[in-house]
Amino acid sequence: MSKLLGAILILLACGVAGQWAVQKLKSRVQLLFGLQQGIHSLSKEISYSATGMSQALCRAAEAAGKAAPLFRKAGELLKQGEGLSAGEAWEQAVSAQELLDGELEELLRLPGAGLGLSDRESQARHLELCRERLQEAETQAKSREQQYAKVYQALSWGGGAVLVLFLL
Amino acid sequence: MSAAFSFPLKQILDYLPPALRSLLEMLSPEQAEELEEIRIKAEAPLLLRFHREEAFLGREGLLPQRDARLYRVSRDELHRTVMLLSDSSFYALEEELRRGYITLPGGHRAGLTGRAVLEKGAIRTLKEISSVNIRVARPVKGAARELLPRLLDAEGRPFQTLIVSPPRAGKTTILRDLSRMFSDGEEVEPLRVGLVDERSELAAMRDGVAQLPVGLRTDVLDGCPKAEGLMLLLRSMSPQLLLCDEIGREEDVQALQEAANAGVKLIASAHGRDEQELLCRPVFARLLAQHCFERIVILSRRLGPGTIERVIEG
Repeated sequence: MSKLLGAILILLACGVAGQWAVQKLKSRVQLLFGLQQGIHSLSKEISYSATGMSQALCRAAEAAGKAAPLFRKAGELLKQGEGLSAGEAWEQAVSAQELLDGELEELLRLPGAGLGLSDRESQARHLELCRERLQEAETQAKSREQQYAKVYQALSWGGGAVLVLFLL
Repeated sequence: MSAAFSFPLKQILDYLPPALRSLLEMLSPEQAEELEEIRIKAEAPLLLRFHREEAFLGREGLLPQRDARLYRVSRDELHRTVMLLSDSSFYALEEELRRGYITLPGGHRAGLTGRAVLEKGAIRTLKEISSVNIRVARPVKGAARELLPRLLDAEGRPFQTLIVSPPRAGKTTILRDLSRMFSDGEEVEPLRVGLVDERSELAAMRDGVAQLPVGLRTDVLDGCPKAEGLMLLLRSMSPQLLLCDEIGREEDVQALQEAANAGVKLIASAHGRDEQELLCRPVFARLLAQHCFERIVILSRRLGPGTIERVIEG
């Protein structure tokens, strides 16, 4: 009886580990999608409504889904009035996000330097450039998800079964 | 020490980088109360203008011009000041940069100079900002109390009035207080007042609420060109008295005549030392010749801001 219980537990643990790996791939796609939505919303707030940067960042957070904490944090840092520029607030918010890896951090630092410093057209151009790069990253992340999700699932359950057979 | 500051200066400190903020926090409450202008220039000492004097600032407090201990503002600090003044949103201030100043919450005005970017011969925006001049706005309740009786006819109705003074002599403060007094019915019959606040200095509107006292019956049209604003208020709000600051363009004068023909009284202000100087400007020469104003008030700083030099019949 205890052997059976142990086997079930091993199988479940391996399955969950595989599922976790798949979820990580999905999260990255969702994060990249959220970032694009946020950047798009920020660009629209700037070019159509000329909304102030702190407010524009907070509004972009509402559209940014999984990436909302980044925009919200940057907006809040600016609102605190500690003498930070928009670029510095953005940099700090990017550094504070645990979900971002090195590649994404580098990509997101692109619009930071000139954030809020130029006219609407130029702001929109910079943000659009960043959004395009995020879109490319999302396409890659999606193809990686499609490529590896089934592999991870099969490997995790299969690996679990092999381990159980081996131990038995 | 900043806890003892009056509200206007506290509002302004939020727009300064930490280093400049801490320097200004060294001012005594009396000095803070007297402060009128903060002049910030890259690689130059920080200049403060008070009611009666001007002084430079160092880490030890106010200092004379040639003192070696004067604090010199760095390029980075000037840059940060501009970023804070614009809420890091230069793109949102295209119109303000074209006009050369930003109005801050509370009605304070930050004048800017730098390199002008031209488009079809007109200023499109400013870049490479080289100096910032922050003018502290203070509502002075009762500033117009002395003047008010001289602007009323025998039946207690306001005369068509032009208030003339050089910059920093109290035009805007007196105009704001007149709006409050007429609107609230302080020492006069209350009137419905329409206020065109093109530079957002008179009422300092923020999210639809006036930050400075302009009166209960005052409808404020914020950020609107005066000529269009006067006509709009005339059509939409049935005002009994219209007020606007710093007229001087041809279209302002037309709107003003239109308002007068509609039987609505108007109190406006204009830049100038006295009536002679006004007559040198064609627009005003014509207005005065046509007796468009029943009273012309000349203000100066002789005995402090808002000194009434003369009230002339138009």
